[in-house]
Amino acid sequence: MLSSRNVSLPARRRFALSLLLALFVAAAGVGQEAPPALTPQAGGVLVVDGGSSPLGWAAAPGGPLVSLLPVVSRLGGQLEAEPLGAGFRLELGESRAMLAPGSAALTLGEEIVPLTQAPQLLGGELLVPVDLLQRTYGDLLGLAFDWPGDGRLLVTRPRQRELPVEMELVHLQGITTLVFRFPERPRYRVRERLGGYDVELVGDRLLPPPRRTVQDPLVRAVAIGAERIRIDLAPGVRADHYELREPFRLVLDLVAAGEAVATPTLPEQRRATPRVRTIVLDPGHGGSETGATGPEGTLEKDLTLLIAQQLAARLEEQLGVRVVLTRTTDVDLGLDERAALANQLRADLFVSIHLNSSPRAGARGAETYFLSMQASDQRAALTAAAENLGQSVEPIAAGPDAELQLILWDLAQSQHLAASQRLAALIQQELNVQLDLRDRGVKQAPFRVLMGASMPAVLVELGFLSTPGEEALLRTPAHRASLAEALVRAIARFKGEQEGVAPVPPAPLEAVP
Amino acid sequence: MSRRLAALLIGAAAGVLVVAAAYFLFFSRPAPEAGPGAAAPARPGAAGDEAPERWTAELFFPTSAGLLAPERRELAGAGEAARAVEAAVSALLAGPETPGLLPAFPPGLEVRRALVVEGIAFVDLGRSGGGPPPASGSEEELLRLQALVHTVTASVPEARQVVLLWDGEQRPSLSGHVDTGSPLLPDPRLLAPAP
Ligand SMILES: [Zn+2]
Repeated sequence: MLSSRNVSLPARRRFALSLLLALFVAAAGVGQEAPPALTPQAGGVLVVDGGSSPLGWAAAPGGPLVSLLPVVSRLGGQLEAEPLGAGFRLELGESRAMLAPGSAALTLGEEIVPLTQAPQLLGGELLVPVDLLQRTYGDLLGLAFDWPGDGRLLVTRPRQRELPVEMELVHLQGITTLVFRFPERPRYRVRERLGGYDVELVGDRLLPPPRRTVQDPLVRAVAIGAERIRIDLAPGVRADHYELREPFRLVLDLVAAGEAVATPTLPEQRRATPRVRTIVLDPGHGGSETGATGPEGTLEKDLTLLIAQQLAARLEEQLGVRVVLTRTTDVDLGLDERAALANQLRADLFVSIHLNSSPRAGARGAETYFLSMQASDQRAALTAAAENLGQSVEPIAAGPDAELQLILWDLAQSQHLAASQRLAALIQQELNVQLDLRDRGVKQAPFRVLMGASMPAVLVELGFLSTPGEEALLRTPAHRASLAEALVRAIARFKGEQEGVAPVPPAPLEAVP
Repeated sequence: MSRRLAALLIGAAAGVLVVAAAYFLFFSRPAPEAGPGAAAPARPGAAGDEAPERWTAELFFPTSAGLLAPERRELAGAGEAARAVEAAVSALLAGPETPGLLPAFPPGLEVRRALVVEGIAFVDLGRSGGGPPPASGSEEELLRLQALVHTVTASVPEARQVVLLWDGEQRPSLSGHVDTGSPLLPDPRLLAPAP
């Protein structure tokens, strides 16, 4: 299945990679004063099939990071550096994974997988967390990666699990949703073939449920065997597959794409009508990151959690939506992880909740932000820097290209800016009414937590903790309840607009700095 | 350059950093040229041997309206762009002298190192005694970062963007809101109208 056991680096990328490595060596040689964030550890060993080879690794706060190159050399695949240091591409047979140092997410095909920690370049080596190996090599080759904590990375072929599977099938408005439910995540891959799809188990076996006949306009047959689920579809039907957790489910959404023109009724319409079913609320800050502190010592991280919990309960009760909080306790949580969670849950809305502080005295009131795209500036800078070097640079903003997936991941929010702006406007309107604020428009800022969210996303500042009067007000449960109520009204209006239920006159939009 | 700074310049995976820093290290051009048409405050050249001349930096501080206003400040001469960035940011950290302007940063911070490469100023900040970046709400953070970027780009014409590091490390965000994983550009919308 693996096309090559060699690490192949085309010339241009080899240049980019050697630049990176040479730069590191050159730069590290100059260093003396501050200790590095991570210390490379000597004596690491990669153990495969009883044989062993040297392995670079480093102890990071989030667990060990291990050198990817020896793993690729040993287990196969191709590792290539993307141009201009945009990241790395790992190809395993037909699968392609994109990763970037500093980014705690992995792009697997079209799926974005959050990682426990970001890969790093250290001492000229690309170091990755063990879960990255598990999600790539582990899932594709049926291998288990184990780090006993003594510098050894054990690669084993785990005992075969026998997993029971249940199937559900729902047909609604021209879309069939096929759900396979497992007690834990099986190692599998989905392959498209003529007339349907196969879910192939890798290293695991299935305990099929009793055989049953499927009656569905889009599905001809589903045969569940020990090693494969064979799904035969009606002509022209295409599938979009994804995973849901707790319990683990593999979901296939089936649509008759080919017949959309002939019968332009339900599937197309449902696709075109975004629905608001899952909302992710993000209580700002947490753990060692307190956010703003009021003069009386009120911490932003505490109130954001209280407000988010209250808002979640109201949204579930009043709108019947599913609400997930990025954190439910006082813990540290990275900004990228927050957006990644919303993406993973396929959330329809993302609302990050904060309380403000300002150096100016007497600042008061609420403000709602959507993302301002600094990334385009970064692209321009990147192009300019490359041009200064005399390299020819292809326009980066060309269409969606697999090689740009990492960048598109960074720019995930760009496709939802209009909806995000609308949501921000509705929230601001409701807050203006609630708090008797005048002429307060929506704002734009390059907020990191919004960048990776691939759904309408806003950050709302519910008041200024730095202003004594507002701090006192924000400490009152009744005031927080009224803020939550305003947010519920705004989200209900947005949901209604999106789903075409209750047309609402457009809110005046005013983007101010 | 600290090892950590070096590692992070690379680890940031921003190609621009790599290209720029590689250019710096491999071709080590002595002084990057000013951007065309940049109207810069006068700064003495890098002649180096005579007594330090004075030059005028433009420092930006928050106003009571939540915007940024400039304060012109005489600083000791420094021909090299990186030294100029260091001097201007140090003055910014020390706070305003103009009545009515507010400090952008809390006390106790210092510039660990500055570097200007191909239009990008790398500014490494930290606490004098070590410790995490200042915690703050988003408006404070936005004003803080924009005060820094406006100060650097207005005072040192060789710098058009700023990469901010904390203790040699580029972070996703300084205080949990604004993205600092990419080079920062001055946002003119935050400037107070000239009196
Ligand atoms: Zn905040």
